[in-house]
Amino acid sequence: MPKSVLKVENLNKHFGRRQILHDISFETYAGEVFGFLGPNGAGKTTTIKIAVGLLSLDEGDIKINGISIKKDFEGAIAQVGGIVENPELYKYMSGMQNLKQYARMRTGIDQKRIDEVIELVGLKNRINDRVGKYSLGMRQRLGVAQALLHRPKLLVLDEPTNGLDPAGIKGLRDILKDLAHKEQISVLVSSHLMSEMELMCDRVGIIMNGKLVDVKSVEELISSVSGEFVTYKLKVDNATKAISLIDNVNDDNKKIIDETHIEVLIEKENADNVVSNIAHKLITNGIKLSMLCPAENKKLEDVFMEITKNGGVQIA
Amino acid sequence: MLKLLRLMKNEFIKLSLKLSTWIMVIIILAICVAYSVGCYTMVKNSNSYSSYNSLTGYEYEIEYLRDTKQDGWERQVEELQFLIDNKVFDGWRAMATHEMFELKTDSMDKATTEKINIIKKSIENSDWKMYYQFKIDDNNSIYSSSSDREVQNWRYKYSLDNEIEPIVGEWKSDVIDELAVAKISVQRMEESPNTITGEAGKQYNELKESIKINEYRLENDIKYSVKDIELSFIMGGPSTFDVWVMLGMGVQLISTIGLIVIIIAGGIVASEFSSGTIKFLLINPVKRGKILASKYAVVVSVSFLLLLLMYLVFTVMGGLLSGFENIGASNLSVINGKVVEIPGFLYMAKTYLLGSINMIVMATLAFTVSSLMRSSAIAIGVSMFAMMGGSIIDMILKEVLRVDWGRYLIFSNIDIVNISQGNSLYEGQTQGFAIAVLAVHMVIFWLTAWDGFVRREV
Ligand SMILES: Nc1ncnc2c1ncn2[C@@H]1O[C@H](COP(=O)(O)OP(=O)(O)OP(=O)(O)O)[C@@H](O)[C@H]1O
Ligand SMILES: [Mg+2]
Repeated sequence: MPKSVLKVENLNKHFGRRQILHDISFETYAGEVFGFLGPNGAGKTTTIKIAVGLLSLDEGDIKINGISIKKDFEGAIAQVGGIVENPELYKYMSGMQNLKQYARMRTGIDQKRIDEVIELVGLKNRINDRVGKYSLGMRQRLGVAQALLHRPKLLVLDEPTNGLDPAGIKGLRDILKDLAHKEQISVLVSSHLMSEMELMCDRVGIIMNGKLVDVKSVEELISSVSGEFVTYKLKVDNATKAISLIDNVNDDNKKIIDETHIEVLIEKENADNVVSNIAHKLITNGIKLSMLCPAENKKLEDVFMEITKNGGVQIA
Repeated sequence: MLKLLRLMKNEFIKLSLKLSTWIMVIIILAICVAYSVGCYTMVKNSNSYSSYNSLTGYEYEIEYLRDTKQDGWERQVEELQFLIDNKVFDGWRAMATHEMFELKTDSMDKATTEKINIIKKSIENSDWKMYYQFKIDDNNSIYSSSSDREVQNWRYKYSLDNEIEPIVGEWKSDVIDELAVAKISVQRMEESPNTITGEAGKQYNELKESIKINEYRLENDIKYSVKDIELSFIMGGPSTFDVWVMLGMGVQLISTIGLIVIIIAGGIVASEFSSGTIKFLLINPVKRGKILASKYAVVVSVSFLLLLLMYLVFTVMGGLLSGFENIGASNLSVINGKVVEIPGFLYMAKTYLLGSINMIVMATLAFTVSSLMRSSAIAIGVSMFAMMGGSIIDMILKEVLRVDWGRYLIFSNIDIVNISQGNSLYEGQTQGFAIAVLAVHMVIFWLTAWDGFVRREV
């Protein structure tokens, strides 16, 4: 049983009379990267802000490493590091001076630790420049450095890949994975880049209109959506003729993409037979078949689109 | 506690890394230096006008009298000629000359002629002892009651007994003059049938205190005493310039620091919101109350640092312009009927602290508005208005609307220095009352700021 680090219990939040969060409950564990997915305005940032102490909660509780944020704020928050929304740090200070500011507000951080984090986020060469001269990505990195400074048990990052270049994204992904898997930190990440989440996260929570729709591991989520059918792609010399020859598949499940490409939906269970039948039929009828292969698996992105398009209906 | 100090260090670093802070400090320095030079010039100039009794002054007057030929002009010309002949420009000889010519009439009796001869002789020989002895004899013949005689003769007896020659500008003789006048006034007030209350009572007490202090100075040979400069006297001007006069006049400039402190207080919370850094500030394991407290503590510390800087600049400038010889002087005050010596720098520090209350209250107002509205512009605007426009509102309430509750408003109590010098707008509005009203306001400001900041959603 993995150790629970962040425990959100029946969280409710109103802004004025509008209820923004409805009874949100979930847990994140030491050693995992937890992805927080949801369309714009779903309530991701609001949940994260409550977890790091920027917003108050109306009902429910949040426990970090077992410490209730309501009962011992300083104790609970001392275990959390985070970035919320944009990495807005003091522009008139250098990166180093910024980190020292945060170091003074927390306990047990020496210069060695500061240098360590700078090295980790790859800002060593520019750390003494004024933050005002940093690019967005560099500020994002400094924000991550700030969040890691005090060796938090829970790292909360709201859209951390925002503004990073591909190398930066990969770098961050590796850092977060390492922190989770090697140092047993619990990482909570929200992001709009679903492909990123897929590469980075172990589990994903999906939030819509302030309600937590589902929490699943990435594999579970993908296979649960792809269902009984697999898509196969074919390349032939004459698509119209070829499609009329395929008679062991429902008309609804085959379609012409262009003059030389066809897509066919085949039931998983009987796929091997159906595919070899199609191949045999086409070739014996003189069609030049140059490709017959399953299309790529559904990615988290498609899963996500599917869930949200349906307005948050539970996935089968 | 340690955490609070570390938070304060953070705030100090933030301020010190902002260029605007240093620009403001430099502006304060420049204003203080310019003000010092201005005060020095003003005091020097006002003194050069005061010695109108000069040879050319006398000659001009004679010419004028000859041209206009008013009643009795010949007598006046005679008097002026006497002054010129005997080189009398000020001091006891000028008074004696005047007295002598008052006595002169066309039909003088023998006794009067004798008096005139004595006075004339003492002036011609510059023999003050002779003149003072004559005054004693003369008073004894004029006044019958022994108390009158004692008060009227005190100056002459004391000077003769202690061999203190009356010379204008010699501190002892100046103190004796001041004492003599005060003693006579006090006696008059005591003997008048009216009861001494209100304005007269205030004046009476001040006279009594000044007598005590001046007697103490003569007894203990204290040449110099540090005094506040009454705000209303600034234009009339002190007669000499030195370090303490400079510091006394400098109290006027504390409001300049006030402006800068308001700017800092108005920005210290709001700027975190406007730059978005508030999220990174509040994400730390520190209670919001502590963060707010550290920011407020820094505003107050900066205020006092600037005040100290100003105090030092005035001391140095006063010294450079007029020398440091009085730097070790003390202030003499009457406390519980006793004269107490307070080292000058302590006494002035007290005056400056009193003067800084205004600035601290306004800074607190700016700080509160800043943390409530998250806008430094609104905070600075409101506080500056309160600082500058307050006295106008105060006036309107008192003089136009004629309401009495105006005394409980912050505006009518903010000018503590003026109130402590007895210049308050409302009857019975003492320094203690003003401080109590301000204290209540401060507590309200703190609570509002704290509540707003701690509960605010970020
Ligand atoms: N300070 C606030 N006052 C009122 N409503 C707010 C406030 N902050 C957020 N909201 C509302 O709460 C809802 C959730 O916002 P939130 O920022 O949590 O969404 P999000 O999931 O982070 O979206 P995004 O992907 O765009 O960042 C939105 O409908 C938003 O309008
Ligand atoms: Mg968001």
